[in-house]
Amino acid sequence: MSFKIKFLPDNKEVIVNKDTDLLTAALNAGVGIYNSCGGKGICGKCKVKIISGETDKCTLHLSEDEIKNNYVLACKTFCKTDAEVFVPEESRIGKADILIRGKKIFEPIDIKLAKSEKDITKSKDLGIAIDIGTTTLVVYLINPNYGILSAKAMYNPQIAFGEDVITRMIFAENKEGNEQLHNSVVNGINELIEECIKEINIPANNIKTVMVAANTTMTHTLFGINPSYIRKIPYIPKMDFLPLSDATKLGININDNAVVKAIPSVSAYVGGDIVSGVIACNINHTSKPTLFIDLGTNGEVVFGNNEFLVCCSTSAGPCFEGGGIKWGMRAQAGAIESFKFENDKISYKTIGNQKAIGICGAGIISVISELFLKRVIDKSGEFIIGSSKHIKTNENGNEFFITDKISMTSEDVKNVINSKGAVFSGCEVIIKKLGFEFSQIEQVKIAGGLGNALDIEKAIILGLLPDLPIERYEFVGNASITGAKECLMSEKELEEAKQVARMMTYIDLSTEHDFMNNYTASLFLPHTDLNLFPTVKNILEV
Amino acid sequence: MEHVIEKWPGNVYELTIGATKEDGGTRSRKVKAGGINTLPFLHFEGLTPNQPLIAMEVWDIEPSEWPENLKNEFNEVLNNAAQWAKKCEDLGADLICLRLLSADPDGKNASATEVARTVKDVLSATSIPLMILGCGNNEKDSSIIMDISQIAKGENCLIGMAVKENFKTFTAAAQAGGHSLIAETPLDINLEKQLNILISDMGFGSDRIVIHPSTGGVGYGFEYCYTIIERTRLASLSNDKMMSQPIITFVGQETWKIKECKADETEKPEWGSLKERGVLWEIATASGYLQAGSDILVMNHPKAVNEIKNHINKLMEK
Repeated sequence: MSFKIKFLPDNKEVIVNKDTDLLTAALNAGVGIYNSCGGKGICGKCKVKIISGETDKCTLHLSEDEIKNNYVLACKTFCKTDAEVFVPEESRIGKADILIRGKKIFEPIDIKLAKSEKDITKSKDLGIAIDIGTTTLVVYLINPNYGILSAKAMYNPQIAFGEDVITRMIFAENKEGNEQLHNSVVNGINELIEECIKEINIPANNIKTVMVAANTTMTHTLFGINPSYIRKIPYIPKMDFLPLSDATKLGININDNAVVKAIPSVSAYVGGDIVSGVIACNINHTSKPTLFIDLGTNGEVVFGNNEFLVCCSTSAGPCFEGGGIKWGMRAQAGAIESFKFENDKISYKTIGNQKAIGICGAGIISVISELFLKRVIDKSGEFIIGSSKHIKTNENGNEFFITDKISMTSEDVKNVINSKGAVFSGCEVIIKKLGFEFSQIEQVKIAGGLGNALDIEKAIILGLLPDLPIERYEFVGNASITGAKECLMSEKELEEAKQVARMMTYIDLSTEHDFMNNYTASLFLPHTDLNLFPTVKNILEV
Repeated sequence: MEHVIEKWPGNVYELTIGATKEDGGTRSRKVKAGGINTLPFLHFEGLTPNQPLIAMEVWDIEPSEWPENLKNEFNEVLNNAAQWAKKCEDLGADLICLRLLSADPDGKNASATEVARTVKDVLSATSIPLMILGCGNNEKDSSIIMDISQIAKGENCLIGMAVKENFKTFTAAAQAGGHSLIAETPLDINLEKQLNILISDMGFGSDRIVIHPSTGGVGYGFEYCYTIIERTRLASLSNDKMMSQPIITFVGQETWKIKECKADETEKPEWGSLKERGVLWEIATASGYLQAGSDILVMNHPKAVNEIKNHINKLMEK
């Protein structure tokens, strides 16, 4: 028996049988519904509203209000008749506009102003640079002689199979799972390429090279290689340096003879995206000791200069990208990106000045650090009861309400403290292992999709970043795609990327006995050892 | 040859427990813990102004789990906390460690008024300083600690256990009653320091805290506890004021529950006489913690207490 399900507001329809849950149905219909557990009924994020039709409603994680209003959890709800389903804004996987709006990152050449429009767009040797992040997918259409012609981004369609790399590795353990991962990422890439070529109005046939920068797991899935061994002892990827591959073989819809190149990985948890970031930030050319932090799910840290490079992966978790946080979301329109609190009065700013629908990474950092400074959160991350009228206590603990709906829970604060602790202690371990002091770091590059509003000072107050003068910091946004672009435009850069991947020393934090000690010490605001944060110490003492 | 002596910049806070008539209390004497500016018993290197203290445990219910040979030492007083405390005073304890286990909601579930009365009785029956602990159930302990603190107001007791989950109530209670506070954390120097910071951020004097880093008996994690205590002490000697509190260890509690102190000769003939074994185990554990740097030892068996007192006296000889 089969039913017709219509998804609103996209107006997309799909025919399913009675054993298909609504999340899978949406996926088949091409409607993105946000979820972080891969449809296991754990995260409670795939809320949808039943407009019409009979279903066996699953109301796990939902509030009384939501149940009353016919909301259900998509991943555990099955249809009994034809149905109409509304996907509310907070459950929708939207287009990730903001991700390509990085500060210095996206500088498309103005085709109209260029000397000869024809030369630039009619070239028969165009290329595509791709950054495959665990969460996002970014594509640049490039004329190797000039620069970026078009840039497009979306969420990595693989999110439907789980939010983090581990869940996806498990999913890839059987052949079909691996194929599904491969197909979904390739479909996403094709979709973005399609949009690019439509915008510039060129034939796909003119695209002859693809340069991929991605973490090790993503690179595996793109090339159809089973990544599941990465998570098994001794954590060795099947490959780190990849030979050239055919676009046709991988299913990318461009010129039949196009080649696909990937920036090599360093280890299981430090991939080509990080090598690409090092190239983009020119760390391999500077004599200044440089710290590079990717505030993504894996939280990779690189330290070094033109003489040496050391890296580690801190497994920060998805919270700086909005994952694992009740009202967390990616940096896109409607996300709270900065927050102020004065005399129990709240003010905030959202991306695009739209109605607040959640909080992005930069906003999460802003909220917690502001509430800590204003003594609403204590050093252990607990809300101080009675410190603000916006704190409400319910059966799940304390919550601070930013709007009537959007809140920060004490669980969220704990998650963020765990993440920031992992990143900071990862930096501490590699810096100390090389006999350096924090003060010797001459520049810090922060990469990631947590939002351009990232306030470095607030991140230092939180104890996420080392207490260094603000001018040493630079937020570089998506450095991975920038590096991929450079490698596509210059064979020399690609050679350098290979050299960087070879020279980078990987430190496995799980076998560093200092790491655990440093980590517990950093699970405090800003840190158990306040002497590591002299400026924060001054602020707190005032 | 040159005599190289380590000079430490810091020292451990000196904490006074108990209040005599002049201080507004009713104790016949006070005791002091901590104050040391070197590692334990290195008299050539620094000053050890106070010798380690021994507290003896008194319960307000009969300790049914205790092995017979320990119970026998207190037979006639086991059902009367006040008399039991008096006996410990006579046995030479420096202070009494009163455990209000009757408050346990899974057991007798005694009310705040009932346990407060026990505290009062123990204070009347004895003249040495008092340490008071709840039943170990956070929620219940938080609900009774204010009454306990009030009834003992002015006596400058040591109350506990403040843990991460209840420290706010415990700190407020200790502040209100003018007592000192034991801060307990699960074996980690960072967690120790974090709890001390949180307590002092509430305006409570960091010199009125005693650290309980968690205790393990010999054979049951002792080495781990030893290194944590040693690292805490090294931090205090390096002048980290949030780690400079005296340290307490619960030796008796960790000794008398293990099988080595419970299994009798029929079960384990190769282990020798049970009667001696338990006492020896408590002595061995206590002497280990003395070397680690424990300032207050909480003990059970009178014979072990006696031996350790002699041992301390010898270690204190310069």
